[in-house]
Amino acid sequence: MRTPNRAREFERTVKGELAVLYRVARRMGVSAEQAEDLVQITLVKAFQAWDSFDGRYLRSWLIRILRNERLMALRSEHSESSIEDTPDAELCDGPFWDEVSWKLEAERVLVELDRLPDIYQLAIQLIDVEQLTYEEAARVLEVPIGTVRSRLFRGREMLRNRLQGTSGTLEQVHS
Amino acid sequence: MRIDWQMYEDGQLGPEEMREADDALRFDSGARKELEGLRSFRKSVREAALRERVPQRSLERRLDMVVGQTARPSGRVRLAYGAAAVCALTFAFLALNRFVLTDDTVEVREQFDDVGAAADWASDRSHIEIPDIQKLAVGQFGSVHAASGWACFDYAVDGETVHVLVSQGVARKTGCHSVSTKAGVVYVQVGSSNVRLNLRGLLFVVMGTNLDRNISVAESLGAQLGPIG
Repeated sequence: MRTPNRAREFERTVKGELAVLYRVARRMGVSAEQAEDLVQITLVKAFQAWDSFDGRYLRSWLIRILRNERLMALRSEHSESSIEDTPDAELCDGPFWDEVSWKLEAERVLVELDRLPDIYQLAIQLIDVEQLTYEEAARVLEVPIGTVRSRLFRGREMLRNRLQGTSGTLEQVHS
Repeated sequence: MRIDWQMYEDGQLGPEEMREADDALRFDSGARKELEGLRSFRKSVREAALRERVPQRSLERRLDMVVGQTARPSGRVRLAYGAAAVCALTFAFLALNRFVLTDDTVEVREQFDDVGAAADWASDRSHIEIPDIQKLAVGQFGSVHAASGWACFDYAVDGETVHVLVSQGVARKTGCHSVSTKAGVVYVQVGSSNVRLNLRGLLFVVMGTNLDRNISVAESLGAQLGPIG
């Protein structure tokens, strides 16, 4: 039986992570409503496992539960994301980030971010947005650190290319 | 020499490469622009992602529901719930949020081996006359948790835990797909895998990640406790 104190502790501790969980859920290819449902299921699972949580890396722990729930749903739908989805043609060599001041409209960034394959969205969200370390992200994604790094780098480059591809609206300031 | 500025920015270069990169930044304006561009890009992406609207209040209500423990709501919250009822906001929130409005309750979880004992215990705990729903053809009953106004039965179905939430109320049809099952019509909120149905004057919400599985559970509930509606 869970004591009231433990329940309050869970609520107090987890409340600060709700926005993170929701944003990460949104990077997993689900709608806003589905993201809320996914967060709720994550909370149920986390609450059930709260007594066994060792207190370290709360954010990583919660996101891993979230991801596992999403993966279970994907498996049941037979639609797992795959690294083979990578459109390599979008990548290029040569100077890449130079001389560009990226003043991007938030809405456009989100649209293009959503268009990336989920594995790249997630890598960017975890590290660039939620500021997890590579080690934490690797733990969440259950992949080696090198895989996290390659997904992150490739994701950034794909996003950069797509945003620049909308050149009619992208504001670039050459210094 | 070509420097990977992402590696540099993320601290992933080795000592020698890092030294070369630092030298480049000192003497090469192109290198500085490249790094500045990357930093600017990352900043823009982060700021954009953090500006995405987060339904914080709704998420907190869901957390309240999960924990089953809440402080007495403020007048503003009561008003919001009243308005929600009048305006018939989404069924899910009405179903879930009503728990918050009951009293200062604490969710308690119990394991039961004895069939029937779980529902009896949940009835006492929730103050709702809950029928025996622990026997489902599609899943294995695991545990029950409840607080005043609601009870939640957990089943293992195909390796996943599916939650069956029981409370007083009526499944709302607006904003939902209706799905005909062998046991009757159930409702699926657009964009969600949760399935709602009415049985014996109570509201049942089947919560799991897979819609087909949830519908199977709903069908099983309907077959046992039906008719649905």
